[in-house]
Amino acid sequence: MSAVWLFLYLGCLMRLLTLYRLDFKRPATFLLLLPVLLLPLMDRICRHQAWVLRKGTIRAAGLTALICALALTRTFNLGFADTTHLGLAAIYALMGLSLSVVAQAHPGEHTGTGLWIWVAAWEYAGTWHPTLTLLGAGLSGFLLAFGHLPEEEPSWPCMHQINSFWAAALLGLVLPKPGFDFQFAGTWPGALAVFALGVAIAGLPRLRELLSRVPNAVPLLLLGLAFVLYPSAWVCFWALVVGLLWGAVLPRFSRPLCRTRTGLGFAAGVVVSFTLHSNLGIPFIRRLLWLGS
Amino acid sequence: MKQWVLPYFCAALALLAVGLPLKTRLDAPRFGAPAIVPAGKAFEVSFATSLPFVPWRAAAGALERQWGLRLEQGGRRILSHRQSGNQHWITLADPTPVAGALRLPVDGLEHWSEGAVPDRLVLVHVADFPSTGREAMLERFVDEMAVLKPHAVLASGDLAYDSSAEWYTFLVGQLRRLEVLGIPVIACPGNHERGGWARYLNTFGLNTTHRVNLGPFAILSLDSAHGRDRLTPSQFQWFQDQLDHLEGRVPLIQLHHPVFPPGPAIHGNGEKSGGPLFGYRDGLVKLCVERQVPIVLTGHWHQDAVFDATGRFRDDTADFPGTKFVVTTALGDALRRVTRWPLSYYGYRILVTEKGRLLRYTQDLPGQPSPTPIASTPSGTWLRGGRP
Repeated sequence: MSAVWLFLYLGCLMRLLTLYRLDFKRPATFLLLLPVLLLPLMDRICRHQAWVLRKGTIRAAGLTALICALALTRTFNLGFADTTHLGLAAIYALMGLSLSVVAQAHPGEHTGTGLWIWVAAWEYAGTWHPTLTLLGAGLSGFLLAFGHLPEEEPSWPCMHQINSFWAAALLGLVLPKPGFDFQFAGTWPGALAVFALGVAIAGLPRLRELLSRVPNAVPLLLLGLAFVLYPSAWVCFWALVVGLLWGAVLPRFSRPLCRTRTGLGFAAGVVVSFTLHSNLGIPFIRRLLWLGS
Repeated sequence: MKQWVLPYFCAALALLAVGLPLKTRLDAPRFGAPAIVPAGKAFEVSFATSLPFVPWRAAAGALERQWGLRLEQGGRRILSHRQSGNQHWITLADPTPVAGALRLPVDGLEHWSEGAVPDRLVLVHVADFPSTGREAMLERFVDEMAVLKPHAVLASGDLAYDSSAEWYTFLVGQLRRLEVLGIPVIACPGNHERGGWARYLNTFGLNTTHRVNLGPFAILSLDSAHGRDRLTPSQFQWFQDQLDHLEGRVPLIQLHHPVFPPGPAIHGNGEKSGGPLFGYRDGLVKLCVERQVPIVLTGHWHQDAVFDATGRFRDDTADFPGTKFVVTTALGDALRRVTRWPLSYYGYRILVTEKGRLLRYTQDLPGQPSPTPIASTPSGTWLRGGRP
């Protein structure tokens, strides 16, 4: 569920916020960010309030996520999101929290090719309209809560271990780059779809075996390089490489995967990336960030 | 594999649930980015549907119903169509002869038919519109345009300091008045539009970077105002592509942010305006020089300024070779002193061109040399009977 939460929900939310601007003077902004702000507390909440992880609650959360996703997508399909609207922000928040509950109840991490193709399909749907990716997140939460989203557990031991927070932060730094092209029908959904396909390809048995032998530093350094080197005309190729690198990094996380750590790491990476791209008046940063474009 | 059948079946159902009944979003031509084409020449209507892979005839039917327009009307015929996912492009042509220079859109589609465009074209450039409480300034500007009768108005952003529905209704109403006068409006967003971005996109469509052909000109509007890298890689690539496919037209560029910083011409702290183009400035300037772009029109500083391609502030003369990088004062928002240029007033800029050649872009002012460098036309000049 982490992949769905990270790339379908959080990725879509981050894109929405960077596209439509975040206004911290408005309460709607805090509502939109509530699921991310509550992320560090989810473990504690679930430990102290056992009813949160009961089957009935999880199913209710899954259903709520789907209903919220349907409501948002019906409202926004073909349209433009008003991030200052309190009611819509509340639906976003409710959806995010519901997905959080479902994800908390399913700490097992998917690694199957099927799941990544599912993620890629929904990211591709985002090229029709960005909100459709959210529908994928809501539907995934619903299917998982009712036990209909196929899960595969990792079946191989990995020698190398990587800190999931820093790796996710690095990915958060790199992955939104196509989004900073700031076109409504921009390249981010397509790039994310190719990225997810890249992760799926990296999970194929032979490649997986090969990649697992590579030392930690190699994929991490290459990911860092992808942050600097971004050829906008070759964005699909770039996204495929980032996907393959993430596919090499993913099995190195300790299991069960800590969603709090990866989620916060990813969000922190996106924020840093956004800040760097927002301060391009500094010539050195400007040249560094769009190297290759 | 079988275990994925149910999720994908549910996905299809979910997509149907959010996509039915079929809706459309008209992307081009739109208000602020009209299609201006000579009679008989093809132009493209692009739109998206709420469901992907809908047959184009059904999609076109939905478009007509929702937007109250007829794609095939009078002499206008569909020539071809193409489709990708939920995006459709329909090519139309209208051979009906046009009396005069331009024929107004008549059917809800922002399509202007171009007739015999005179050799001498007058364009007006404006930026930084008045806001709530100063509505009369915008009304007076439209009244003035009714006297001046330019062939088009180019609006380079900050049209809506107030992103309320009321302001947008008023703004669109005034800009529509220009259209009724036979003056198409070509708009690009400024940084203040980002405050109510959804409303701007709903009003002007999602193509914030666009090209409008008018007579001998290809008017390229760029979106520099998202507050990050100003021009982004994909936008710069689009700009380069457009310059590679000018079809003999002369490019005119408009964007919100001034290309150059005030530099040594800064006045005090420039009222903290700064705000030049950061990303891709060198690339943009290089292309403008190479492709002999006569003028790049910008706003944002609320004061007039003109630079040459080296970034030198040209308050010495209005007539210098190469591309003119022009900043036009505010039409109605607060005035500033950003540069050493001593004059500051509300106004707009008149561009006089002949056969695609820029003849004049400044206004002679009393007590100043002729031609006066830098100066735009003070608001009300034409209502008082002045002449450029």
